[in-house]
Amino acid sequence: MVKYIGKRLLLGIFTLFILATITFFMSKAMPGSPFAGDTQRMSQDQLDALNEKYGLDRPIGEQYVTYMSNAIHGDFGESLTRRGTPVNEIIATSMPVTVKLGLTAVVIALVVGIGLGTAAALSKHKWVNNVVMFISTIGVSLPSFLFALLLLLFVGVYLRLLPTVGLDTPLHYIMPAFSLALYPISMISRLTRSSLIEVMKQDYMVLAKSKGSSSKTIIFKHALKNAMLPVITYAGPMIAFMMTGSFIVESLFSIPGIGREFVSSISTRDYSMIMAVTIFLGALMIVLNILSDIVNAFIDPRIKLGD
Amino acid sequence: MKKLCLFAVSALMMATALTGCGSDSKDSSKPKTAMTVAIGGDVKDLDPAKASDSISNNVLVEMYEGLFEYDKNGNLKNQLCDSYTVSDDGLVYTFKLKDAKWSDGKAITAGDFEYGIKRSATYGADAYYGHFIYDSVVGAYDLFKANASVADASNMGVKALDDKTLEIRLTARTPYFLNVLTSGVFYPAREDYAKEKESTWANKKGYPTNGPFVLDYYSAKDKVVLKKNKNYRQAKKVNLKELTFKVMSDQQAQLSAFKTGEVDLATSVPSDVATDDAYKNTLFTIDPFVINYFVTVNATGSNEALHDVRVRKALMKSVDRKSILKVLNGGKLQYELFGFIPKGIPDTKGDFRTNADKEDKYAAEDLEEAKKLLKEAGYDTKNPLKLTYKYNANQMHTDVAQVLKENWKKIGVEVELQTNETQAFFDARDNGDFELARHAMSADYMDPTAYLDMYKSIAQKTAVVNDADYDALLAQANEEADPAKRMEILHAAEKLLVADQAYVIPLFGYSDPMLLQEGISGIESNPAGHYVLAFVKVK
Repeated sequence: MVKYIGKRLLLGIFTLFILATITFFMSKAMPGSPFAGDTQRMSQDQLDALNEKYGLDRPIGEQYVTYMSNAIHGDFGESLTRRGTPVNEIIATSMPVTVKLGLTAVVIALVVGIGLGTAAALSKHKWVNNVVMFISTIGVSLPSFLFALLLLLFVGVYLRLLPTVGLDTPLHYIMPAFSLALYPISMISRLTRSSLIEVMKQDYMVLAKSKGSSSKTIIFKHALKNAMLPVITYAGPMIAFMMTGSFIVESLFSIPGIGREFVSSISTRDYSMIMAVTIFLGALMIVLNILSDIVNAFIDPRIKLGD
Repeated sequence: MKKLCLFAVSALMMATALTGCGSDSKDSSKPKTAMTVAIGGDVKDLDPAKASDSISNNVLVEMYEGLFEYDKNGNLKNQLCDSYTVSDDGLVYTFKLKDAKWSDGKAITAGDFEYGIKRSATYGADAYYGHFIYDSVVGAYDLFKANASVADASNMGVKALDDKTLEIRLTARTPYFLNVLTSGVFYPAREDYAKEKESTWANKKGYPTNGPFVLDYYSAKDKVVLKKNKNYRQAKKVNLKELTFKVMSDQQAQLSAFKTGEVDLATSVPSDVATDDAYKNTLFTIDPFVINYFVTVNATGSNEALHDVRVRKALMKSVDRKSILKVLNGGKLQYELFGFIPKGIPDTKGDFRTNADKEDKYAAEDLEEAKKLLKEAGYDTKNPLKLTYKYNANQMHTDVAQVLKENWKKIGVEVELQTNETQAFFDARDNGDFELARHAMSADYMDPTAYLDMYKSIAQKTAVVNDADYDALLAQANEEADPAKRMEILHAAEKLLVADQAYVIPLFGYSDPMLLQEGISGIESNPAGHYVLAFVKVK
């Protein structure tokens, strides 16, 4: 087990290294520079001084070596658009915002998704199943930006039920979290439903029933537990995805998170931000994936780690 | 698993319980002495020596006063300057300061100005408008080049003669010098707070400022909250106790928040609100706002057709500005621009653009003349002129490009539209890698040279305009001591740039629509794009 985790971590570090290298050269290959928009307001002396100060006048190979050796020591440099502010600091302020919102969305997705899926699989009324399937079809096909916008306009502006700006109170979380959670809700409810239907047909379920266990025990102890396996497999990457933030949702609800940061750093050629955010989110993805594999192995005795 | 489910359910229940008690934070309970402004981007910097973008500068004008600020028409009005004298050669400026205090009660002295200016001059590469100092003040350029510190600046031409008298010496006559004094790099600074070459102090509350407000909270990507400065010299006139700038990068988000009342002033909203009757009573705009939208012509590039003044003039005279404005649908916020300088830049008397237009609309449409010129240059249907027009992808720029293409088709010029991603576009334009390209500039200071200097041959990274006559006119204007005569020379320079040579093709000027809740009055705006909220009244 420990050996397995160690191996995965080493592989993860190697992956990160490759990711950082590719991102470095690709971001430098983009035409333009962080100062391109300002050239007509600044003097050439100033631009030269800026390029010198931030090392952009050096050969690209040298820039790469400098960057990597600094990065290994945890120094990811200063933002090139907010000069003087270390990118570490920017990530440290925007990441908690995204994580808080992401976790809320994950909880909503799991609770609502599993709830709907269970209801659809077990209800004796056909319409329940139809309604759930209808919701999940909409949820899978509706792009999140459209859903978020509709939610904002209808619930926020037209009905005035919920605040639309920022994350100041718990109420503020509802719309952005649901916007993020819509797609996973649909996926989870479908997964739960189909897997639960499958499980209910299994022999051990018949056995449990014939033993005279109450239907509550059967569903929660035997059926749901086993039906959760595909959901958990899905949940790993989903949680990772939620933690990386969404540009659309963060922009629309004016949330100062990391998703917005990532996209804007690319369009402003903020090289140090691009690098730091990529490495950081990459590391997060890798760790969460390892965690989800471990959790899977604990729940499903058929999976053996270390192969 | 059971535990996980239990946790999930209890977390959701907790969330719903919490939301139940969150509802009383609605805007109805907001005190009338507070105001929230939605801004379209991050507040990058609150150090006046360093701030580069209009958003940060708009926050800074609420926190600081310099020697001068612009009035509604772009003319200078005194802030902390009580009176001033200029030596006959235009090289020595002496300012007498008003009695005023910092927010912590200390008197503002000429020494604070001396330190502030020296600090900006030695801040280094990141002092965005530092060139306002290096370009004109004695000794400043050398300090900048040597990356010196304030202690090295004893010979720099900035000196506090006594507590209330400041002297600034220039290397050469700089007729627009008083204008650049409005910039943050010339603000006074407190040596005990504003450290050299470093700005982190500016992002944490607790330091004194000298304007209507002091900093209370700063988070670059979220919001900035300012509190009233009780020691401000006009504190009696300041009604607001709290002013919040909320970062909202999405225009639709600003519009929604304006409708729900969560923001009082939305500064970046979809442009169609300008012509939407639903916003008739809440539309707010800075009028005039100084910006010009134009086509820059590469007159020295690889396509030699554009080296021919007849071709350039034909392109200029075939533009139908009304058709562009019609497509953009900006209503009264947009106007046809016939010269390079937009409305809002003062002349000796009145407005520079308005005065010039009265004489001659330089770039006015004349299709027959355009066709004639193009024929003279050797182009017709058999040998059509083919050009490319570059712009960065965005709805407005695309609309303009398509109308231009149609316009130029009328005289038989085939224009291929090329769109680029924004930074790549700027890069191409800087490097002269274009034939025709879109351009727009807001002014850094309210003088015609803020625009005209752009096309001096030495001011361009790649000189797409390289005209000795033009350079000579601008140099001559700088030497001219009589302001009226100087303006005449600048009018001549503009005429050369547009009417005679068509190096640039002006299209339109505009002002962005904003939305202001009814019942709020007293915003003082100026053509530089500042909207000062200090004296606002909220009903």
